[in-house]
Amino acid sequence: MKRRTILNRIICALLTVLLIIELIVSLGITLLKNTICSKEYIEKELVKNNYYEITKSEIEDSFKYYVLQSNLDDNCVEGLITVEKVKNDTLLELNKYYDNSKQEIDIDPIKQELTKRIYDKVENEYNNSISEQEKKDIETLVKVIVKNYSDNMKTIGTCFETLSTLSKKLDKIESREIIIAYGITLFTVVLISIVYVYGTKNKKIIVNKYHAIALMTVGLMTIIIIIAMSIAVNEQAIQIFTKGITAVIVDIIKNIKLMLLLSGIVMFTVGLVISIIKNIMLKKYLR
Amino acid sequence: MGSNSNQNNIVLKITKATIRNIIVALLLATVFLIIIYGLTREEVNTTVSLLKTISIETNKQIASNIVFNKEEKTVRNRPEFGTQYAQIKIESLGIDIPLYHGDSLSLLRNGAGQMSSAYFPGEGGTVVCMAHNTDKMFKRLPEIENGAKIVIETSYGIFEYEVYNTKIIDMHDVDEIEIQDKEEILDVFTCYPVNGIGHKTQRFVAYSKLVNYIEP
Repeated sequence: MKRRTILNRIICALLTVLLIIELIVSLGITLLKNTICSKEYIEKELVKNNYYEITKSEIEDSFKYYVLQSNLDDNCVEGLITVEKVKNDTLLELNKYYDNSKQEIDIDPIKQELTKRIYDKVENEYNNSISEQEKKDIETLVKVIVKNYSDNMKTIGTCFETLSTLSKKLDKIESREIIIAYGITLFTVVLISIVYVYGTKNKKIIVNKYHAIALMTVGLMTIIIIIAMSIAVNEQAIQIFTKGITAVIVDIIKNIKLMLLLSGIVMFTVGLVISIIKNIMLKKYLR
Repeated sequence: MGSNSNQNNIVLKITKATIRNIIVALLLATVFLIIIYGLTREEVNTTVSLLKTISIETNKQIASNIVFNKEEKTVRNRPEFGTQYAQIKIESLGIDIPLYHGDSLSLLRNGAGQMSSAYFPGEGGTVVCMAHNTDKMFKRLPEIENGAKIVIETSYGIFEYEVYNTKIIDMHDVDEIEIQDKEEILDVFTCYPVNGIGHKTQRFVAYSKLVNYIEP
């Protein structure tokens, strides 16, 4: 086998650096487009973490809090909102950020139902004998409760506003362009093989140490990043906004870490295997 | 035997070559990470800092390692937001409830809250506490009279305050609860009226001065 020239080695090294960059970009785009920048992924996470049930329960609790302070029973607000309503309104909020939808949540049914329930109670327990001030206070109570509901709904939208902005930037990269990016990566892989084979005049060594090093480098980078993230932040201790949102965000962070770790381990392992096989083949030819 | 030794040599060479490749990969990974961190340092630090801010302990213990200096009127190792650090008592009204640092909805469900932008007992400024107007909380607060005692029991001492004035204010009248640092005042308030239906837009406030401090 012919020894490679210095020029050949330099070209292979540069192509390897290029391949590393392309692998990082491909991995990053693939990961982001399939997780936090994907509305479908977010929706799945909301269901998986019982976001709608937990949020409905939390909102009901906060309604009861206002009602108890107003000398009313908490059964005034029991069943006022349903899991279905929370789900539909949450999806409306998500659509606002991911799909630029203009549709707003409808709070009138809650307002009307709550007002009816309170006045039914007033009729039964207070014989309709309430002052004008109390009527105003009831109106304020209804407004406060309804606002509490819409604020809770907007919270999830606000939470994912940044992610949806990133998503829109990535959306500008069309699927065709992503395929081209993957194609360029593959082309670089082939190019390294061609340059290496040209340098050694050995057509049997298609994959070589440069492929192995590129894969192992990206693999190690992702593993180091995961270790650093785990040391810097304990995602289990995260608490943000509501319990429902906390559960979703913690799960998303764990999933991303797991995906990155698996990708890193797979890339490193494949690179290592290529390295070993290539070394075995080289030593065989050098006998 | 010669062939065995040859094979061992080849295995050794292959292992060395593979380890060399791993070391090169590790060095390249380090260089790339340094470059990426250098280019995105601000974003990375902001993200980590944000994540750390929202990573809080889920089990709040009662704060007990607070250090109080009576002469300097300083409170060190202040309890974290959301921690119960004291008990607030109004004997004349039969009130004896936990006092939390903070005034969020979830805290006020469990006891009285202390405004985090005001002072702690002993710091020589205005301490502001609030609780709901429910049976287990401050429902009887409007019955309080001048001369009544309000006691805050902490791990760093017992602070006794004497009521000198009460007022009914609008919830937006923030000037009526002045935060100052000239003398130690305790303002406690609750939603008013305590009876009657609907959302209350008034507050009943009891103003009191520090009259006694008992060391732990």
